[in-house]
Amino acid sequence: MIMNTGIIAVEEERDKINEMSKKYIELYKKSLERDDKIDKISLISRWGIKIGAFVGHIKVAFSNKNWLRKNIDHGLITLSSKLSQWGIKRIANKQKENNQKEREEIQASFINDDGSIKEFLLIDDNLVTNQEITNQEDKTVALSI
Amino acid sequence: MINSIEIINEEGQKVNINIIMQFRIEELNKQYIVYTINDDGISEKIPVLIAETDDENGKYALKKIPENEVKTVLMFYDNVRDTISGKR
Repeated sequence: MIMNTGIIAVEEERDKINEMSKKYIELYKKSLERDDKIDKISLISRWGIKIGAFVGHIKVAFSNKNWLRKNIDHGLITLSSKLSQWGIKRIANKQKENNQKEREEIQASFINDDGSIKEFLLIDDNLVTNQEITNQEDKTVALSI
Repeated sequence: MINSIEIINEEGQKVNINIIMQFRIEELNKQYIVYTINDDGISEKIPVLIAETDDENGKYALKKIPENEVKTVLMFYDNVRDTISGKR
């Protein structure tokens, strides 16, 4: 890594970068096909290339959750609050500061194929909706988007 | 590369860069671009640059990344890169 006037420089293999660029474009094109839904979750910046960060965030946030991992590359899963492990840790710390049992709490929203948005709350790996705690079967259905 | 655009660096100079991707760190409320500049298109290794960007009066500008945020930015870059490449 070279640090020069605040710009980070890393040396990468050309093949690796070309591969990443190709996949990035695929993600971008996929996002354009679902433009109406993308608007709702602000995936696209003026350059139209925020989706990579979006996917990355999810990967970071849910790296421990195998049940979600299969959906990560869907391209239309987003979270309504903080997404990274950093965010998770911060939430957990906040709980601890309040003298409550430390727990991992994540808010998430998912875009269904019909364009509707489902919102969830995840507490210590348990999926909670606004109304009820879902069982494993419900969880699978809910995430099969 | 995905795109080639003209941006303004901190010295106010116009620079043409090839964008590889962009990512955003919500916790910092900042966005970054990953790009190359003056790539010869031949070398096996490519110097890839990461800079903070800002939209100033409709023009994208490159900004310096504060030293205390470098580690976080690199962590996110690694994650985004590997995720897109399917290695995570």
